[in-house]
Amino acid sequence: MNADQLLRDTLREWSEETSAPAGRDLASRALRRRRNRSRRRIATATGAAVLALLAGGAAVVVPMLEGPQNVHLSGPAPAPDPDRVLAHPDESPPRHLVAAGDLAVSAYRTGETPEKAYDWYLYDTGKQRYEKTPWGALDVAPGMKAAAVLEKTLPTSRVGILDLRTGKVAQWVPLDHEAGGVSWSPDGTRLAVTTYSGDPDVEATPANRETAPGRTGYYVIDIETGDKRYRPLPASIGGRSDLGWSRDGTRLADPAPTRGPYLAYYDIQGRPAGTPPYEGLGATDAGRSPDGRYYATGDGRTGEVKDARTHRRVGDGFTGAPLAWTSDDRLLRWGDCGDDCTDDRYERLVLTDPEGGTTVPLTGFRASEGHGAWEPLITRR
Amino acid sequence: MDDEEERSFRAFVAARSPALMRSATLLTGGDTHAAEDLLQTALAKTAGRWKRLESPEAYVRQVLYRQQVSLWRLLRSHRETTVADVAELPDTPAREDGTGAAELRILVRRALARLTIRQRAMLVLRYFEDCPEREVAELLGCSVGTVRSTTHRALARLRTLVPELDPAAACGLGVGNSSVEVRQ
Repeated sequence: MNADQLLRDTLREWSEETSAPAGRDLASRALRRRRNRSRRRIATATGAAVLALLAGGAAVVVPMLEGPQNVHLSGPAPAPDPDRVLAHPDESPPRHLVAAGDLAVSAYRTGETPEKAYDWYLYDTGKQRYEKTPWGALDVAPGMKAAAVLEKTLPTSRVGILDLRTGKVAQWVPLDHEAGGVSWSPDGTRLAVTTYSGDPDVEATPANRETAPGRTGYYVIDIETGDKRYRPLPASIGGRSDLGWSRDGTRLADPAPTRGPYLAYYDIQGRPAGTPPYEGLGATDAGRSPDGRYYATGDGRTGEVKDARTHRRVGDGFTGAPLAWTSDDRLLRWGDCGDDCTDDRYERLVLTDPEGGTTVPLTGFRASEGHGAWEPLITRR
Repeated sequence: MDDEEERSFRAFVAARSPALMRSATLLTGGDTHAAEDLLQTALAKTAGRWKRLESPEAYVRQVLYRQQVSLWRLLRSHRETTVADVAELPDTPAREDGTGAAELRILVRRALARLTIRQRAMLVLRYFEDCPEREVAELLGCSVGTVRSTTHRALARLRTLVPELDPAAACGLGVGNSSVEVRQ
């Protein structure tokens, strides 16, 4: 008997010895508890609240690295029309720009194939469509004029600053420790670069779990001054867990700390820092609306919009993770497939009002995983 | 909840509570009182959303696991411990005869009960519910990296508590390594 099977057998045998609770009585007790329940809700956890670079801050990036080699990216970006919605509800993944207000799907990652690197697609302003890239990992800076890119195969020993107007790398930043993930600060002045001992996108399998590539540390690179600081992290087992930023850009968010809660925050010097308001466990990528009137909560699968003053729910809850507020009263989120769900027709990007009365589909339905699945990178234009 | 909804809720509880109770019992490390309380809390939350739920069982399981992990978060400030009162492990390992497998399962069961709530929840999801890592991450609201690291730590802890599970100690017995056989 192998050890996996032993563990499975133990759990199954143990469960089979469990006596059933008193069915009708259990339902009555649950209903009673429901009726007596306090209005205070227990915050639920959400996982990927870390990596979104969706909120706040200026949007113009002018990378200037290492003194005399300063880089000046070409031309100003055209100002986006905040009322304009660019939707392609029949495209999954999208071929043409998807945007709402001053947020856009700047790039997306396809597939989730074990032992195969992801493919990244970037929006090409010249061709006016998303184009497949050769990069192993990337993040688009607020303003969508530049992207930080890492070459395949990950990890790699330099990070590039890609000028999205020319499609050329304007500057390479050499790294002593090999990197697998990049994340721009919300104001586009700094980069968090997570380093790994191997390719973080290679799935850890039962056979290689112990030896799968793990995280080794991270750099914070100041794009304006060229200052580059490296901090090691305790060894971890395999899998991607890039550091991101708090919405105000003052702290780094660690989605997989080796100690402590699921989500830890550090200050720029690497010291433990508290969780910012409307972030961390129980929060969502969307967080608080720009005018502060609403905030979105969720558990990763479902979500709710609440009034920030009364903490009461606004409208009905919904199925689909809240992603970002495109304006004071427009929420970008995943929308579910209703009564017509399959593995290939799982969820789509939609734009809704806080009450959920109006829902505008922005993309076609993505698959739940594997072929047909894609993960958008949402960036301020 | 109107009368019809209450009837359907009661029917659901009657039909599914045995299976849900099994999961809850594993989550609580064999503490049936804690399991019943956990399940009751999850069902109370489910009742509150009953008319909007497309898949009540999926929802109640999600609440079950998250509630338990949430409890873990409260407990861990006092030290990592388990809610179950678990007897000390015997000093002698499983014998290498026909009774070895059964004894080994008892040792593993006791070791499971000594894991932290969060570690046990991960193993129950992965090895009892057969959830892929991504689904575990969505269910518990954490990253896939956290699922992996917690599972890794849980398996390492199991190997410490049951040395027979350690590849080095048992000549190639490794939890998580399906290609290696357990000595019997």
